[in-house]
Amino acid sequence: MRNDDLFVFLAAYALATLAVLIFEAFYRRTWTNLIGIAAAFLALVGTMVLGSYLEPGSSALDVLSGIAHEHHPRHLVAAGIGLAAALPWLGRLFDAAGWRPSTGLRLAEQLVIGASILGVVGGAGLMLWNMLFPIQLESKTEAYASEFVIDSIARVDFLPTRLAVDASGNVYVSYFWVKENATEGGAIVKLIRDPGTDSFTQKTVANHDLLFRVTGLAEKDGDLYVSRSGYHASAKDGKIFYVDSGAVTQLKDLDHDGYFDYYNDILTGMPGSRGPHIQHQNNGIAFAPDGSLYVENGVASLALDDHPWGGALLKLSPDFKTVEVFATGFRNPFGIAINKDGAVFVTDNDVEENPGDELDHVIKGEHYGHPFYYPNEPGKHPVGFRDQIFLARGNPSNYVGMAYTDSAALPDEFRDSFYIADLSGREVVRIKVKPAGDTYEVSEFEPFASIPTPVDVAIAEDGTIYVASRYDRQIFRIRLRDSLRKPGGKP
Amino acid sequence: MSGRRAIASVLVKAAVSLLAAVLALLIAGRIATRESPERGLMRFDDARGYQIFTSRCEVCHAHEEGGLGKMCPNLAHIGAEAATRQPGLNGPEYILQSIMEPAAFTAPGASGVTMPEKLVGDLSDDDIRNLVAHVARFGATPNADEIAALVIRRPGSAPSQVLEVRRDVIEHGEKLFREKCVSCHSLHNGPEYVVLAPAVFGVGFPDEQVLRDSIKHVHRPLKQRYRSTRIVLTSGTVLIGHIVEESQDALVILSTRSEDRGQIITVQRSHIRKGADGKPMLTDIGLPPGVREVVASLTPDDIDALVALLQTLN
Repeated sequence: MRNDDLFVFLAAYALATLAVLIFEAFYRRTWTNLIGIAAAFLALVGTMVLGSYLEPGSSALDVLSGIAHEHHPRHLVAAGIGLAAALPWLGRLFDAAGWRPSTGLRLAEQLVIGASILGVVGGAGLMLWNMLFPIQLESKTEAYASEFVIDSIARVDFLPTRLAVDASGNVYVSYFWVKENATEGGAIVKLIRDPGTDSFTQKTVANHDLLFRVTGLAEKDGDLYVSRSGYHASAKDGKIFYVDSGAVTQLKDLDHDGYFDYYNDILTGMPGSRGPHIQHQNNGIAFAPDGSLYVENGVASLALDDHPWGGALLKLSPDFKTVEVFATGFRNPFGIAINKDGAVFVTDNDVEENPGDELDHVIKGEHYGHPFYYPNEPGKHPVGFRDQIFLARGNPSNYVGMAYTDSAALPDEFRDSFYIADLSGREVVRIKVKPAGDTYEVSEFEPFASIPTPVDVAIAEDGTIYVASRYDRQIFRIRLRDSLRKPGGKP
Repeated sequence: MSGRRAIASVLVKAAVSLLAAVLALLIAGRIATRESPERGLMRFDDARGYQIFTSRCEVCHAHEEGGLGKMCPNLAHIGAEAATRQPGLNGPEYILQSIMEPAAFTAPGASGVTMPEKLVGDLSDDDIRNLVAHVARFGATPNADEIAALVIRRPGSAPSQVLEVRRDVIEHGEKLFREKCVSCHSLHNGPEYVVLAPAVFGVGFPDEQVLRDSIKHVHRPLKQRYRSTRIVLTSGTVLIGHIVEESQDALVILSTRSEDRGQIITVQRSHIRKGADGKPMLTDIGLPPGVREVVASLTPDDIDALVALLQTLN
């Protein structure tokens, strides 16, 4: 039982007891009754004093009101236990009302006491059960378009970072951890799709400390590719340096046993994570149709990065042998997708003040502004830079993972679209672009689905959209309604 | 009394009892409410204040106790200390003045650079109060009424100049900075500014003329912290560095020679050669070796580019 549950329980108990004793006073005005009322009122005051400590800066009534607005069944159970515990006081009323004790009344009294015991034991048992085996509640998820349905295909016991989907519709989920015993590492879980039942089973297919801080994931021809980073600083003669910890690693399953056993860095020397903004690092990766790999890099500070690849989108040749800076001027790009024209698009988290998160069409050789200015920065007139094609509209808003699809299985309205996870906005938005000169402009924007804390999106060839919810620890699937899909499970 | 009336009477009494109990709950809540100054602060949006602070202030100001030195004063206790800084100004008023008119008062621990004046010029009054409320919480619980009562005046009625940020110029400046400046001036606004040279990004050097003069007239009087001293030893070796510690027997210097820049060297006074006048050969030479040559190598276009870079990132 948590503190707020205990508060609700005590408040309900004290309130019910007081109400019963006041009711009793209509029939029996005795010292016993008066003392009872006074005691119940003092208990209520004491409960409220304790409750006011639950939330610094708030009164107990504010706390109570806040709890009531949460509409959480746990609180309802706590209040129920409090009321059940107060039920025996009703027993006094059978005498107080002046009714003669009859067998029926005595039986009623026993029933009230029985209900009290059942309520207390049942409610407390339910709470204990919830502590031991947490009862998950469905969070509010909804696909806004009537053509789509949404369901949860997996609950995971980690905080997902990225998603990828292979040609068979299997989904890969990456995550990493730092444990209290100071160990750290990362893993990739495969959600294996059973075409018969259309359900998914979880299997950890890679698990190694090398996979710490995986913030980019892609699948190609059965191999996995991760964008990973670390953090290490060194100091020499008063100057602080950061070790280049960013890498893209290829994972292969050589013996085809379902576990990835062959790790090979195909790109190293990226800045990785560094101070002062150590949550900025190399993030999303995406393969172009010709086999080139694009890799996003963040910048560690609001000024110049000490690494020439800080804030750059790199392009790795199909043979993984040569790398070039494709474009630069990003702050902490996270989502990346390539459309049917082969054009590259990224989401970039700009300054903390919203709106500021960008959707950029990335053109070779261009500079996207960071750290020299941010979108609509007053007092600055940038010349020679390339602006975003779209700024996030929500406040708060945090554009992270994204995916593109032109799947023929989808209705035209939903084809040729980018699907972007807005972590803070708690939704997935759909954006369509059309050519405009040497770049694109946004032609359609619409909220597509309500999903708690979405962090990444991956779309299968059949147009099924997978979304990872970071703090809800679930993987959701959004797909066309059965009636709109073609028989056999394939659109 | 009929049975129906009796039931009605019981129901009315039950309702009255319930209402009385709820009223008692409200009274109990009122009695139990602790008079907390934090409650008043809830009218300000601390999340928004945090957002603005991280975007615009954190690059220069640390706010954790013991936070690594940055170019501007540590704000860990500013909430408690603000009211003591300027006679006649309460804490929030002082914080507001520091933000809106940075030149009005030089705070203890300031490194000599001035905060940009129009740092929050584009923010609404509400957002400025949110920022003040957030900063005033560092090390104290501020008085919400004082923050609500702040009178926000926008300094300077002259139209603000728009800075043209040209990519070609900026990138040239960046290239020069990496080649010629970064061995002493740090890219990061961290503790390194104490060591060899001041930090120059995000530290309040927005004025073009000041920046131009700082580069062209680099020999202008330097802060003692950055002055170099030439020391000739009895062995004939010549050391150059900042004197960071002096005692009766020895000197500790931070070398500013290119070959061992940043190393800390202890020199026994007995090992310092004496001149013809019998005095130790210690000569204050101001700028570290090589700086004049670097500045002399800069063309007017180079200086324009560096000034543009520094203006843009301040």
